[in-house]
Amino acid sequence: MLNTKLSNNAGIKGFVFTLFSLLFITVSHSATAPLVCKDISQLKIIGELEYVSVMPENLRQKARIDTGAQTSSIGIVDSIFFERDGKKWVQFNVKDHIKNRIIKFERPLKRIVKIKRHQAEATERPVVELKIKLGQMELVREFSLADRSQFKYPILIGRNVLNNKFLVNVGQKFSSSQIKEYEQ
Amino acid sequence: MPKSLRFYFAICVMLFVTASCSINASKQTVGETARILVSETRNSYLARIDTGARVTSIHATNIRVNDGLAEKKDNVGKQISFMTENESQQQSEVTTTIVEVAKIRNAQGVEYRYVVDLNLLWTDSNKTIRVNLRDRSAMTYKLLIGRNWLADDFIVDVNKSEGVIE
Repeated sequence: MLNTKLSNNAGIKGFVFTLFSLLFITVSHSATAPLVCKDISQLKIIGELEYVSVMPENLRQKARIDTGAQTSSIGIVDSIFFERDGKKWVQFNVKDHIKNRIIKFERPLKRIVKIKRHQAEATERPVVELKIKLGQMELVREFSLADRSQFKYPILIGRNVLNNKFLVNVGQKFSSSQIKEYEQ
Repeated sequence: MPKSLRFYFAICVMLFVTASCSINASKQTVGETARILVSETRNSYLARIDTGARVTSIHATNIRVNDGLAEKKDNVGKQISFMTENESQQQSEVTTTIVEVAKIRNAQGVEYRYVVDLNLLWTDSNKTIRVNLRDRSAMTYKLLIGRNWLADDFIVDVNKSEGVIE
């Protein structure tokens, strides 16, 4: 079908070459597939830094991927508690470092977490559920609201996001966004 | 002709995908914790695998520098001795050379730590890497594995673990 415009001889050569190539692909794929491709289909490999969007506000920020942290956290400017329909909520402001603006969030308060700190007093942080987008994946996970002004990256992705979803390859950075841009 | 060229281009793309698959295949996965032997201590440590940390860190107390000066930076190249212990309180004393002084920035500010080269063994991996010394008495894991051990060789899968300290 591919070689209809070619002479008979060239057509046969092309056909043989095609067959050979296909055979090679099959063999090489079956050799590597059991090792990784199985993993890739179930768990996505991400780098040590990735872009993460908080939905539906669509706040896109750089995030440090941290297997040393249990709970993820997001850096906030300030926060206040308020009541809505008899339930505790928290309103907090987050600085959008990319577009240089402040975005206001309102979420129900899930719980308060106690943070043990080395060489400093223990501190408490409010925890809320956030819907995030990492690459093509959307997840709802708990985030503690933290002062991350001392840190380079405003979002920290801990094990509660990574579990059963992602593998971390520290050699790469911002890989999920590249894939996204390539597909668009 | 352009049609068949396009077809072979597609084959090349597929081959490239296969090749990149096998690059990842050469990387071993390590869990959220791993039992790692630190040759110089003759003890194994249940280590926390931490992609958030740049450099690996080990618990060290009673740090003494031979002919040590007050300024840490002036002691690079000198002999250092320290006591260390794993999560099961198995102690050992290590004497080695200070290879650098690292500036560590954390939420509490800036601190300087001595850095030494240590030999870490895990499954069939044998690596000598830079490790900074810190009093980790208050911390659960006495060995924290940072990105300088993981780099190029391991992918972290937090669903796996070689033990958890309660």
